[in-house]
Amino acid sequence: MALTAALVDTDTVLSVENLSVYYDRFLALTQVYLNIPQRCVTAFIGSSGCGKSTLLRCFNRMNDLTMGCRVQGKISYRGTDLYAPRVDPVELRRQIGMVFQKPNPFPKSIYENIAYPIRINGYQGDVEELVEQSLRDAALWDEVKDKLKQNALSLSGGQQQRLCIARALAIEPDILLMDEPCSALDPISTARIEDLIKQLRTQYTIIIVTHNMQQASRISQMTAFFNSSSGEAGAGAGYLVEYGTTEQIFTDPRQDLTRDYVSGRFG
Amino acid sequence: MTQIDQVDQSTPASPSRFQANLAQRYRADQIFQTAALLSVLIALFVLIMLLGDVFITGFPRFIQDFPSFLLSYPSRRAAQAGILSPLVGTIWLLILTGLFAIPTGVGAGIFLEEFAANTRLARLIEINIGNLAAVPSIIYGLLALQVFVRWMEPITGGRSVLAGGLTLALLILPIIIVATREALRSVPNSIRQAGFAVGTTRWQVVRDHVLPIALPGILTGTILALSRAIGETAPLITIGALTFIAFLPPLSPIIEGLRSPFTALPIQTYNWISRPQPEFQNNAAAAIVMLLIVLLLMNATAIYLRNRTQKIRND
Repeated sequence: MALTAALVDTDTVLSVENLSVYYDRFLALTQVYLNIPQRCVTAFIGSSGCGKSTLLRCFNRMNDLTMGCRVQGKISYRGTDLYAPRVDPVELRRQIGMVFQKPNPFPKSIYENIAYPIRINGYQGDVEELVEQSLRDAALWDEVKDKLKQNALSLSGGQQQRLCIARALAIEPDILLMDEPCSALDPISTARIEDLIKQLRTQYTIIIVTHNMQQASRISQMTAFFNSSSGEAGAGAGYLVEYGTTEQIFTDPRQDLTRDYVSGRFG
Repeated sequence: MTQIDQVDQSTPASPSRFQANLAQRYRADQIFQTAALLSVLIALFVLIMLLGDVFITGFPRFIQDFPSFLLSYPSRRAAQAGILSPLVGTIWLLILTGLFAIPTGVGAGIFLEEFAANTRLARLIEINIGNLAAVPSIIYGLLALQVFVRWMEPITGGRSVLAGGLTLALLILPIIIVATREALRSVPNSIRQAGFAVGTTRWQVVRDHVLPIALPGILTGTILALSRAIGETAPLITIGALTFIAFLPPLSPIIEGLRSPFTALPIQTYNWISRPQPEFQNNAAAAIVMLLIVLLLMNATAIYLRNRTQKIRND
């Protein structure tokens, strides 16, 4: 992992040490070591059921809410152990935001979708201003500025997903976790979200799970390739095969598995 | 060439490997559809017969003495007897039952569905609440007789409208819990995750996102449960509701009202229907008409509230 640090000349935000995750008795992810650099897009790729999303959900402790989920090992977020008792998951989730696979806006007005997290987290400034700013940041403002009072569910899927990104950005997170944010979207909406991610990566640390290798190669600077031990989806424990700069993973992989995967020979 | 050969083989001229047998399958369709329609007709027929009988017997009495039947107390003389005290008693019961059962039932449902961990104890409680909903109402009456009427007499005043309300609340509590949980379970999990991901606490997620979506379902279930409560006779007889009450529970002081004896529409009906005189039979039918009106009003309220809350949500 020292190699990783050398390749990307930035500070480490998240550092994963010997992490294993269980769902009841089932070992979902085993012995992961990983350093996530600051203000970069890091992509997690790999076939279904190899623990990419599981790892992502450890970063904002969403796995706490999953019955029977147990985390072993250590994740440090800017030097703090994420699973230390004094870390409050509610406070943590303000700093580490998340965008989900399927757009999940609240069934409220567009304005309220953004204003709600702002208010609930005790924002001291002008809420309306921050709503506008967040929508601008998510490249959605021009499309919705005349219909802020409309229900968010009246937007198209791609707009809903950008609304969810705006909602995550509104509370000024440090890290943005994205769990296959484009898998439910058409190619044009996908392209817009990718553009958006490219804009955001100068200000935010972004970790994105994707099944689309072209997407990973287009938008990320770092790539981690995961696989599961038995090779069958969901059957065995997921593990990290290789982690490096996106360029290295796609052009000069060190592992045969990685080469087969990124060249499309399986997966 | 080979492809064309294959197509030729599947034409009706040569035997196919599939035998669609459509005629027979459509016949099975027809038979099932007819059977299902017949079931509906039987149910409808029974319902119409019942309602028709009640209305033919009861409606003349109900409409002839329109206000006076509602506004007089029960009497030995059928023509002067009215349903004022049972009607008021039913309304008291309705309010008290709602006051006790709705907050506890909805609260318990929220706790079990949103807060409780999925432990063996939680599952045990879950199964037993389901069982409680199926316990015959007379059993609740027996329990209430001991607990609310005898043990808690210093508070309830014995066979009072308060004891009656508590009894019916106990009876419909499991139904409200189950309905609340069903309504909460129908809220997609993605909404909860959206809430948690922006840094909200569990209660904020429930209050701001889950409950507003589940509210129409909870309301409907609750009002249907209340409708069941006001139609109950057995537990009220068990706890000793009277059949002849010639006064109303005083509204002030309210504690006196709560502790006064009571009767209710189903009890009055039960009493009248067991008398030999046909005039009382007519009275019973007229009382049933009133009970049906109350039930219809409640169901109408349920539908109205459901539509309204859904509309608010969709705005």
